[in-house]
Amino acid sequence: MLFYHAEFIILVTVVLLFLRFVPARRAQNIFLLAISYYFYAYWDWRYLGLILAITACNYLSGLALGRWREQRAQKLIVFAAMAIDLGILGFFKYYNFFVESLQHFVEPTGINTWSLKILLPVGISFYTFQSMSYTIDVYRKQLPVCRSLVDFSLFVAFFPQLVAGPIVRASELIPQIRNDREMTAARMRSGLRQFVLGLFKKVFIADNLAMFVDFHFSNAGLFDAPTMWLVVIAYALQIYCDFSGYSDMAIGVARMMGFDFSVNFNFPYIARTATDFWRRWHISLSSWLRDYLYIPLGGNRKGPARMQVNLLITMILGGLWHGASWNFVIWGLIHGMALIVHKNFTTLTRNMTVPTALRPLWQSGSWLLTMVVVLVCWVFFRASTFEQSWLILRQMFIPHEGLTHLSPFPLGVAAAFAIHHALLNTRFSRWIQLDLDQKWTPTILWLMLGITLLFWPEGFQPFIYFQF
Amino acid sequence: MHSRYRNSMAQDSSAHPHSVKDPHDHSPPMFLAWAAGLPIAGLLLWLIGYVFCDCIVVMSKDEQLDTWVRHPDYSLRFHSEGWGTSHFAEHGIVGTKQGPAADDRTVVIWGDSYVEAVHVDDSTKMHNQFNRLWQKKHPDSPLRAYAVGQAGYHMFDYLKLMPKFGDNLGDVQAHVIVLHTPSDLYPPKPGQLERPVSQQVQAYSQPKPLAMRWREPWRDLELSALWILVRDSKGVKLRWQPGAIADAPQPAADPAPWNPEPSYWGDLLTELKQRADAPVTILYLPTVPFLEDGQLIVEDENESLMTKFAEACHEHGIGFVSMRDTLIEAYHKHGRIPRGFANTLPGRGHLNDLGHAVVAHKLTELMEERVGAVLSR
Repeated sequence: MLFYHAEFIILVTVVLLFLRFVPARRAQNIFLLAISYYFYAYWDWRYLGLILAITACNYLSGLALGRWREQRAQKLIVFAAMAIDLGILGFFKYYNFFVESLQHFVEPTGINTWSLKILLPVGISFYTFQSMSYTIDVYRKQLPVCRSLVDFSLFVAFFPQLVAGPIVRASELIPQIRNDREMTAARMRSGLRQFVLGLFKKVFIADNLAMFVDFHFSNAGLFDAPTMWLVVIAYALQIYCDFSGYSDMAIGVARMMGFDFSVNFNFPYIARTATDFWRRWHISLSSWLRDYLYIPLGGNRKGPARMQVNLLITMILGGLWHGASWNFVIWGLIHGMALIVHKNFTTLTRNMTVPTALRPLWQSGSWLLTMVVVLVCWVFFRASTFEQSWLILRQMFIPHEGLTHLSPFPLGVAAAFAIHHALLNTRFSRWIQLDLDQKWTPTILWLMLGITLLFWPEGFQPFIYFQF
Repeated sequence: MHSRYRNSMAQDSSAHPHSVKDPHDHSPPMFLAWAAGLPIAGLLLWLIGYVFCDCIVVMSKDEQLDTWVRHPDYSLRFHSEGWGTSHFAEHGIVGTKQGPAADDRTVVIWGDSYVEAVHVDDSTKMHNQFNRLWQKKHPDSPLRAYAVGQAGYHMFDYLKLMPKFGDNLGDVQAHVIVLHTPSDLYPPKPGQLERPVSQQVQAYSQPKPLAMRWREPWRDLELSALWILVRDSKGVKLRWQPGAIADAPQPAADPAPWNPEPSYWGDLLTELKQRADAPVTILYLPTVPFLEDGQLIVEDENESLMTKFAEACHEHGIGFVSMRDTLIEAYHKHGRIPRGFANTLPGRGHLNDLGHAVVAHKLTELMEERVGAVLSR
């Protein structure tokens, strides 16, 4: 069930009523857990076994870490838990990828590898990473052991963020599960605002852009350069609105229930450097990778050369997290290289200052360069093959004849985004940010809801990040 | 360089804090803002629906034709595919407010949504472009095209309506039936190929359009937005049972290639010739060219079928013209596909302004060939 389906709205209403009239925390947690499992089973009941396995693995690991305190035993427990978690993730997500890649190399020898027909469970990347964060934090003594199976299971399976994030750390969510929660009118308004914004972004903007993007990516070779630039920009807006829209809906629903999740997106398309972009895009994943991969690898503590290697490894694996395809690896690699370039550039120019008169030009140039890199990366992210990626990049950067299709909707969305982002740090900010204490905000939210319902696209468009 | 954004109050929507009321703020409570916001948003939504949505289509029962036609007092705004405003004369005649006089020399163009062409303005429609072209080339040989078309029409509609129009189509010099899919040649109900066409036409009646009694008042108030919301809400179905994710429903397989009985076509074309009071030409508009998987497709999947149909037409004294080569030529000449609009996808859907222009030129050539000789006497 998707967040904008009638079934989900009814389900959330029932949940909110239950939470409002049944204040006992334990009863609430059990109820939320049951609803979360139902929500997951709604996709495919066969997946339940998987989430139960991940839950059991990390819960028992936590208990074991609390029981056996010797360093060697602790390392063994964590290693075993990670092996199980990553083994499950690796099998379901990457088995065929590695087998088929290997086949490419061993084919001349006559050896045949076997690929399997494996169903990719919804949300596996998200809840696996989330569970791993618990075990690692307990090992690091940053988090006490969670002894309540109900509380821990709810942490893993909490339905608002189960299938497409945000990745919520145990240190953030488990205390909220264990403590009493508030359901206030202010939270309801705030959560509802978040939900409506997310719905508007996902259904009205992202899903309507999808039809334009899908068609033009499939037929990229026939369109001219301006059209292909519009297509790639449209995709950048589509994926942002799709993913941040989902996050908004998840955060909004959770807030109405009394839970607070961290920000997952912070206007990534105003970033002026690759580093800034990754502080704004999918923050829950980038911070997870920083804390559990980049820093354990050594971060920037072992010299600049090692830092660059660590950055590349982190970003490549981050790309691979998104999907079992070399395109995602390239996506991560380019982002990694952009981060390295920025870090080196910052180091080289740390004693230099930009003259005040040139500052606007400098800032605009930085922004433009960052956006071009981000857009090029999105081409690899979206294209189904490496060849298609190159075709689209050629169509974008090499002038040529072709069909022109500058569709008004993507143009309008791009223009609206440009105006919105330009006004972000002006006196109009509270208006366009739809602050709840602005009198026009309810009108605009009602209008956004109406527009979403009125221009509901035909056909089913799943959340892009469901496939991860 | 970054502090400006890092510390900025401008945070993504997900970061928004809960609102805290300033004790010095004496403005009306937020409840009023929410309550008043709904009707204000409703008004704005009404305006958006008026500008961007298709209007509600009002129809009336034409007693002479015994069928439902677009109501002549209401224009039709269509904005979801293309962007057009269409007017209708009596008896559903398309693209004009006034039908022909009894002694006007006319050519009648029959068709479905391709001829009704609500996606473009009246002046762009193929028959009106033909009128301008003909007037320019043959100012001394008056001939005017009128279109009788409605989305969903097919051959049985034309057979039924032709005799009923009588003088209301003027002094008809030629009929042109615009055909874009072979399925329009076949009976609306399957498994009827053995029955005589005359009997089927006799028994055929156009389905009554839905929700007729609500349309006029809703249209008078321009409640397109509300109409769409109510209509779409009726399609909502709930599923509560957990289950495996079903495979995405496959699009319905194309009907098995028709293996037409030659006798059916013969029967159909004979009936057509009997009911038409002037020479008939079928103008075939295949869907080519279109884009698929990065290729420009120029092969019509129905070509062999329509070639056989063309032979049958020739045998029965009915004209047949395929627009395939003309449409492909138009693409190469103008660098645009004659189908599709800025707000849809190139090569998909109905004819755009270029498509209508191409058809208008072909109609002009046809009429010069068939009618010009008669008019010049």
